[in-house]
Amino acid sequence: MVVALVFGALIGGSSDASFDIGVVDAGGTASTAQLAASLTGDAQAGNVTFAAYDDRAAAAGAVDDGDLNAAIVITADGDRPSFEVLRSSDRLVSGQIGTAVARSLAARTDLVYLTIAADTAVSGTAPTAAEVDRLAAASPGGTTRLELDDTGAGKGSTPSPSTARRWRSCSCSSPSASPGTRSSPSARAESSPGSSPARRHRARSSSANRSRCPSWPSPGSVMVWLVTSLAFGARWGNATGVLLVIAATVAALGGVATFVAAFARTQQQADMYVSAVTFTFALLGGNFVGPDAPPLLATLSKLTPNGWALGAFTDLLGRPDRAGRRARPRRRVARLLRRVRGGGNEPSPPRIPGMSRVRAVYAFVAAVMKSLVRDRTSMFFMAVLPVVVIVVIGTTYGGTSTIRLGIVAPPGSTTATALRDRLADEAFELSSIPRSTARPPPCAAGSKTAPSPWSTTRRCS
Amino acid sequence: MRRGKQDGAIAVVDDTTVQLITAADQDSVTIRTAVSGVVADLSARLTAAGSVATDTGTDPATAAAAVAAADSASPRR
Repeated sequence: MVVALVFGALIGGSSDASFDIGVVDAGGTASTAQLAASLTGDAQAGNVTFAAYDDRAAAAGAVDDGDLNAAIVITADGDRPSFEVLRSSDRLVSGQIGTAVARSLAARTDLVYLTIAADTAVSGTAPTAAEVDRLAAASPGGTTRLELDDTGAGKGSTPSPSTARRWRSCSCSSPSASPGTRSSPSARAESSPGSSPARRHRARSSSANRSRCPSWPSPGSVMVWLVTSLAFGARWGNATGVLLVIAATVAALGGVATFVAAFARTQQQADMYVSAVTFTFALLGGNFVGPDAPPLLATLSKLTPNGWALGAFTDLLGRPDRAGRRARPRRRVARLLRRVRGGGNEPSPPRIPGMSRVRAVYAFVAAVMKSLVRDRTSMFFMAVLPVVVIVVIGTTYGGTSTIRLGIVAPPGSTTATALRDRLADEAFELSSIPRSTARPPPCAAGSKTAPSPWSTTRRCS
Repeated sequence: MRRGKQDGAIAVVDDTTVQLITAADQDSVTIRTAVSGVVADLSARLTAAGSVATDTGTDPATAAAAVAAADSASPRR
C-alpha cells in the first residue's frame, strides 16, 4: 500500500495542472477588500481556483496541509497595498503560481501609484482626478504596455482541440485541468467556503468516478473485447456474459473509488488515493501476471474485484456460447481456475472446535505472511516489480520542481534584461537561446512574416 | 515538465511584445500563468512610463527613470 501511495503520488503530481490559491484580506481597508474580492469574485480563472480565507493562520494551515497550493495575504502598507505569498518549500511551481497572481495584483496598483509619483516628480504637479480615474480603470490611452502574445507561439500555448478533447475524454485526468472551461461542479463545491461537507463529499465522489472512467459498461473494455474478437478471432465465450462481467467490474471498481474518495479532502487527494488503490488492486488481482500467477497471488486475487473479473472471464471460456461452441481453456487457464475456485465444489473444511473467528483470521494472516516470505516469485511481484515501476515512471514523468525557460531576444533588449531579472526566481531555470539556433514560430493568422527576434524570417502565405 | 531541454521559451519580439512558446499540453497553462505575473509587473511600469511621458512631455527615458525612482523610493514588500 505504501508503494502504491508513492506510485500514485508520483503519477498524480505530474499531471496536476490546476492550482488552489487562498486569498486573505488582512488589510481591512476598502482597497484591500476590493483587491481580494476581484480574485474571489471570479472563483476560477483558467487553471487557478481562488478561495477566501478569514485570516492568515487559517490560510497557512491550509497550505501546510496541502489543501491549498499557495495563499496570498493582502495587507495595507500606507497608500500602497502589500502582498505576502504563503507557499510550501517543496512545491516550487505551485508557489510560483501564487507569486504570479500576487504580482499581477500588485501591477494593477503599481500602475496608478507609480504614474502619480513619477508624474509629480517630473512636472511638480500631481495628476488631475480625471487622469487618476483613467489609470485606475487600466485603460491609459496613447501609452504602451507589454503584451504576452501567444497567438504566434511555436506549437501554440493553448491546448489544441484534440488535446482538449483528450483531457475531457476518459483519460483519468482531472476534469478541472481543461483551461478556458467553466469550473467543474466538484471544483466549485471544493472552492466554496460555505459548501457543506456532504456536498464536498458528493463532489469528490463524482470527480473520482469521472476520473476513473466508469462509463456503463466501460467502453475501453468493450472495445478490447470487440477488436480482439472481430479482428483476431479471439474467443471470449458467451457475449452476454462478457458484457455482464464488464458492467459488474466497472460498477464494483466505481463503488470502491467512491468509497476511497470519501477519505480525501481535495480533488487531488481523491485522484491520488484512487490511483493508489487501483494500482494495488491491479497488483493483487493478478493483472500484471496473467494466468501463471503464483499460488499466493491467486489466493489474494480473490480479494479484489478485478481478480474476480479475471476469474469470471476464464470461467466464461469454459461455457458454451450461443452457437453452442465451447471454448477450450488452455492447460494453464484450467490450472488457474482450480486455484481461484480453491478446490471447486469441494465442501468447506469443518470448523475447528475451540478456535475463535479472530484466532482463525490471525492464523490465516500468519500463514499467508509465511508463505509470502518463502515464495520468492511472489516477493518479486509484490516488492521488487513495483519499485522498478516507480523508478521508471518517476524518472520519466516526475519532477515538477522547476520550469525551464529559454529566452531569445534581440541584442541589448532592455525588456529581455528586465524579464531575466524578474524571472530569476527559484521556480525558473533560465537559459539564453542563441538566435542562430532559434527557429521562427509558425505564421500567425493574417501575418505575412514571422516575428523579428528569430535568426531567420519565415514568409507566410 | 520533463520532456526536452526546455519546458518553454520566451521570445522578446520588441519592447512591447513577448511571445511564450510551449508544447500544447496541460503544462503550457501552468507556464503561462507563472510567467504572466512578471509580464504584468513589467507592463505596469512600461505603461506608467508611457503615461508620464505623455502627460509631462518628457522623453521616454526620463519618464522611465522617474518611474524607477518612484518604485525604489517605496519598495513593495
